[in-house]
Formats: sequence, structure tokens, C-alpha cells
Amino acid sequence: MKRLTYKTLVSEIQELPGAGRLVLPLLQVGSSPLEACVGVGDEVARGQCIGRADTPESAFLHSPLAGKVRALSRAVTHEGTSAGTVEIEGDAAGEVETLQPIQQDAAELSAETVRDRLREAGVSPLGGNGKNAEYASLRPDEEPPEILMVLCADEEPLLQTQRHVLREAPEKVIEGATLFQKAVGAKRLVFAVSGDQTNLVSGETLVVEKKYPLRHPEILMARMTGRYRLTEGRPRKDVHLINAETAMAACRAVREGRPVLEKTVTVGQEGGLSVVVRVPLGTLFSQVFENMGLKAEDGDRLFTGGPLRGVAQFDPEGPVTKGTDGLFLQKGRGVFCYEDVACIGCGQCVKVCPMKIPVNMMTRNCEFGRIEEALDYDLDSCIECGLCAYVCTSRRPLLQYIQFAKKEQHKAELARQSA
Amino acid sequence: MKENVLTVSVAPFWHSGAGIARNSYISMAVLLPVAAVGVMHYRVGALAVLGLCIGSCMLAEALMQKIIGRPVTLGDGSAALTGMLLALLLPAGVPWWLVVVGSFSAIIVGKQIYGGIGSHPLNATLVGWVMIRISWGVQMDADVALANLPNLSGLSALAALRGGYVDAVPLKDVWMGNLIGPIGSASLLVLIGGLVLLALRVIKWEVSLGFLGGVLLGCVLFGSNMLPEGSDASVNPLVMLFSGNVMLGAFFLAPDTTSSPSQPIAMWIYGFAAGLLAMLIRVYGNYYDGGVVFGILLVSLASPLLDKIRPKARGRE
Repeated sequence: MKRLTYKTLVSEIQELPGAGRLVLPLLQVGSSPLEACVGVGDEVARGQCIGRADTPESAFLHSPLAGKVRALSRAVTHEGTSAGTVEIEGDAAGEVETLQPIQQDAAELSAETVRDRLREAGVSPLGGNGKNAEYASLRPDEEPPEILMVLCADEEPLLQTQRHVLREAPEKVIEGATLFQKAVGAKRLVFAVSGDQTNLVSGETLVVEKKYPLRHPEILMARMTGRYRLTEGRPRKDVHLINAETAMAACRAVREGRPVLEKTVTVGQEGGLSVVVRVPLGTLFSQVFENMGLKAEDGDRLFTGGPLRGVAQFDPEGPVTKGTDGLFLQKGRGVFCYEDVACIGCGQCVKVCPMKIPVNMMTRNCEFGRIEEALDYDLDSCIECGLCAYVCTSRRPLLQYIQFAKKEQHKAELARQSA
Repeated sequence: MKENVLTVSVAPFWHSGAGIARNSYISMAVLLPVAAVGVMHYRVGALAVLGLCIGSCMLAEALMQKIIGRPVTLGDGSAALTGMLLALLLPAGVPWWLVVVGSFSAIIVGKQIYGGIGSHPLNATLVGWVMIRISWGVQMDADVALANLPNLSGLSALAALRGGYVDAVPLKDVWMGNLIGPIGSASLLVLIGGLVLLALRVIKWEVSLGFLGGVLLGCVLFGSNMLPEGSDASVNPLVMLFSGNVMLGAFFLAPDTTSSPSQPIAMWIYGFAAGLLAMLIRVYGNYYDGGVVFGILLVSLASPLLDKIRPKARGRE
């Protein structure tokens, strides 16, 4: 399983200024749905707030380009939920509209000041493909965690985003992490870094291992505290997570007053070269690929996130959001597909499972919605790393069965609560 | 502008490349030398059994799947592999109808009536073999079946041991299948093929090693009881290990994916118990030639129970 190890860094981060049409969904991880605060036809400046919500955990959204609002509509985001969108056409001309920089030491600032600034500057969890609920929240009523972990490595093979960000601006990542620690009130700050980058950070570090899924947040958090989410409950009280890019954004938001306008993304074609680019939020996938001389054609598979836990996209015109860590293209010939067949009991999934789940029995129950039985086989221990589906001899879509069962379980729980 | 039609699927987007067809064809490929030695010894007699067995197994699978209305899955090679294994367990020269009955029993009674691959509680090959062995014992006896083939004489390895003729079973003849017996008697080649399967991670190695361990222990504890009473000769454990389909059992029959457990400890116990039981039946039982077959079949019945022996999942303290 050589493929499942993380590769060394490829290049410097390329800036891709972008111009033309941007699509910005008004939904982001950790925030309630935002309200657009611009109208169709309005002129917007670079950095102007275009979406906001008054709930205390919601980070605002800003226009990455100077231009005109073309449309307000709804679309399915690449994380798979329907959300309102703002469509902007413009270019990167002009200065970025910034907030007032704050220069006091982190120790002198109050948690509230930092929190408000992060919210106003749009610092919501960056990366994680929009689905990691373990990220630190800015809710003031939440109990402060014991540890704030800064993940300076990427969860999956192929992805290189976080390590590049750390290499580019280590001092900003450290500064931002300190500010974020202040905002959430964590007692300890831990940097999770890969072995070749330990010299870039200071303070408490956790060296992450080379092999998937040992950089999975759940596994890293368990390594840190000795406890898994199942025993700790959700949200966890012992450890919260942000990644290097979020920390850097926090630093820029406080020290420079600069809102989050771009996202760093690893872009590549399977089997070919990948590069790390920084693009304005809302840039369309097709544009990002075009810049690399790539094009999605009929039968290809385009996915955001990593190759094991990512999300396949149906529309090459989808936008890059704050959650997009990776963007990859698999050419038609190499696309692997699952089959709707029976489990033959080869036991490979049982061997590979990092959580020691009897995956063969569990997924057989998941497939047919037998949630109680699936729970007896430790459905709730699963961290959805996807390794079982990777090794499955029958080529069953095991991760889908698991996600389906978890959703059904969630629905049943909601029904029970409302009854 | 025409819109792109992309392939959309659930994650992961990578796969290790493992597959049912891959496993079946690798297993058949490594068994080819074994079959070749069988054909060398018994000529067209062995070739006929091999061809008829594989053919009728595939026919039975296709017919049954058509009747039930399921997709025909001959392409995954599992029916062909069942046929090949069954043929290697049969002596050359058995009547053609016996081969057909055995193959149909294996695929239909052993596999398809439960819902096909993945659902059968017992190893299909073994079900087919047991069916004809119990029903037509005389025809299945290698000494009888081979009587009308030229240039062969003597006793099968196990029959010789039971009779106390230790000198009639030299190790090198046992290795290469030179003694009369089933077509797949070249057990050294079976072992080599099995090691290839281990290296390619096609089979459950815990089951294989557990099985060999069980056979060895049985050998040490009561192996010499196989000789007639009063005999003061001793049995070479290696002869026991390489005769009577032990190698086929260890690497190709016992690790059958569906009928064996999947939890690490359960796999060891399963293999070990099957090996020990195989020796008990060989030494003390009436169907001593089928010790391996009956041993594995009986322990398969306990397989779902054994699979309950599993570690606590992480996070479940």
C-alpha cells in the first residue's frame, strides 16, 4: 500500500489572481446560513462584506474581487447541500478593504475582541472539505477545550495544502494559533507537524506519521489525549482542532485586518503533476484546471478533498470554497467504480480497520438499514477513513453504506427526541 | 455550450486493486503446475476429469443463476476454481457421471441455493466431494478408480500407512504425487502455490498456518496410532504433512473466504481446529482419505460462532 503514504512537497505556492465570474455559496462550516447583504447590480469593493449572520459562531463572507454583483441564486454546494449563492463578476484591481489592525499582544487582548475580529474577517475552518465537525468553534458559550491542536499536515495522501502554508509563513501560523488559542480559551497549544517540518514551529509539537490514516484528526486527537470521540462525546471538551491555514488567516485578520479572500488548494491530475495554488474564493473548478492546462471531459471524475474521503463533483463549474483543500481530476480510463455485490468475507477490511471494527458484519447490516445491529458491530466507532472500501475484494461501496447508516441513525434519533 | 458529463461516485476514489476475479485466477494459475503433474501421471484420465469438472461447475453456476434470475457471474472465476479444486481432489478415471453429480452438488447444493458467493456456510468444493464420496464410496476409491489405467500399481499413501507399510511411502514420492491418489497429489507444488497466495495476500494466512499447526500437533500426539497395532515403526511427520490433501486443505480449502471466520484470533482457532480434526479423522475415522475434507467442513459450522471472538473497537472502553 505504497500509495497511501504522504509525498514530499512539490513546489512553492503559486498565486492565481483570477478574474471574471465567481460563485460564492452563503454556507460555510461552523456557521449558520448567511444572509446576502448586497443586491443584484451593486458595485462591490475587494474585501467588502457580502454575507453575514448574527449568530455568534457565524463568520462573514467577503468579496474577493472588485466588481459587480451579477446574481443572487441557489445552488448545490460541493459539500452536497443546497445554499444561497452570490455571483460576482470583476477583477483583482484596487486595494483590499481592510478592518482596523489590532497590534496588542495576545495576552493583553480579551477573548471577545479576538473572537469578534475573527468572525468579522470571515475566519471559519478552512479546508477539511467542509465536513469536519471537530474544528474549533467560536461560540462564546462553549466550554473552553483543554488543548487546541493546530494541524500543519494534510489528512490525506495527494493533499499538500497545509504543509505548504506552514512552510510559506511559519511565523504567521504560530502567531495566528496563539490568537486562536486566546479566542477559544484553550489551556495548551499543540502543533501537529510532519517530521521534516518540526523546526518550523515552536512550543509543544506532535510529530505525525507518514501513513494514512494516521493523520486523520480523530486519530491525532486520540493520540494526544488517549480518548476517542466515542467516549468523549461531541463536541469534544478535551481537544479542538484548527489547521495551519486557519491559523494564518487568523493572524492576518487580527494583525493586518485582512478578511479571508483566498483559499490554498492542491490541484492535480491523477498520475500526473500536482501544484499548490492560491485562488480567490468562488473561483470555478474549470478555471483552476484551465490554468494548469487541464480540462474535465466526459467520463472523467473530478473530486474535491483527498482521494479517500473526498467528494466527487457533478459540475465542473462548481466554486472553490473555504472548505476546499484539494481539487483533482481522474481521467476516464482510470476511474474506479464500485459494484453492487455481496460481501464474500475475505476479511481484508477487518485487518485494515484502524478502529478494530468488524467491518464485514457491520456494513452488511448498514447496507439494509439495520441500524441497531450495525451499532452492535461498532458503527459509532467508525471514523470514516475509507480504508475498508479501498481494500474491499468485492469492491463494495463500504464507506457509503456506513455514511448511509449514520444518517439513518441520526434521523431516528431526531424522531425520538421530537416524539 | 454542451455540458460535461462527469463520473460521480462515493469516496474513496482509489482502490487497492483486489478483486474476486483476481483471486480466483491467481489461485487457478498457481494450481496449474499441480494439475500438470496429475496429467503427466494419469494422462487423458486426469485431463478428462479436470475438464469435465470445471466445465460442469461453470454450467451449473450459469444454469442456476439463470433460473434464480440473478446476473450470471462466471467471469469472476469462482465456479471455475471450485471445479478445479474438486477435480484435484478426485482420482483420475472416476466415471463421468460421478464428476457431473459432484460438480452440480458443489455449485447448487454447496453454493447457489444459499444465494451464491458470499452466502454459503460451507466450502462448496468440499460439499460436492463429500456428496459423491459418501454415496459412491467404491468408485471414489483411488485404488479402484485407477485399476483400469495402465502402468500403475500399489496403494495410496494413506492406505499404505494404515496397513503399516511405512517404507512404501518415501517422502520424495509423496512430494511429487508419484503414489496413486487424487489428481492433485503433487503436494510440494501445492505448497509452493500456497506460498505465492500468501505473498500476494490472496488468502487468510492465519487459517493456513493454524491448519498446518493443527495437523503437526495431531501428528506428534497420535500420528503413530495410524499404523496397525503392534507395529513399532514410526511415521515421518513430513509424510503426514504432505499426504492426503493436507496442503490443498491448508492453502486452498480451509481459507475459503466465505466459510471461514475473519477475526484474527478466530482465524487461528478455526485453522488449528480444522487441522487437528483432520488428523483425528485420518487416524481414527472410517473416511481416513477424507480427513482433511471432513475436518474443514465440520469446523466451518462453528465459523460464525468463532467470529464472535473479536477485539473491542477503539473508543469502546
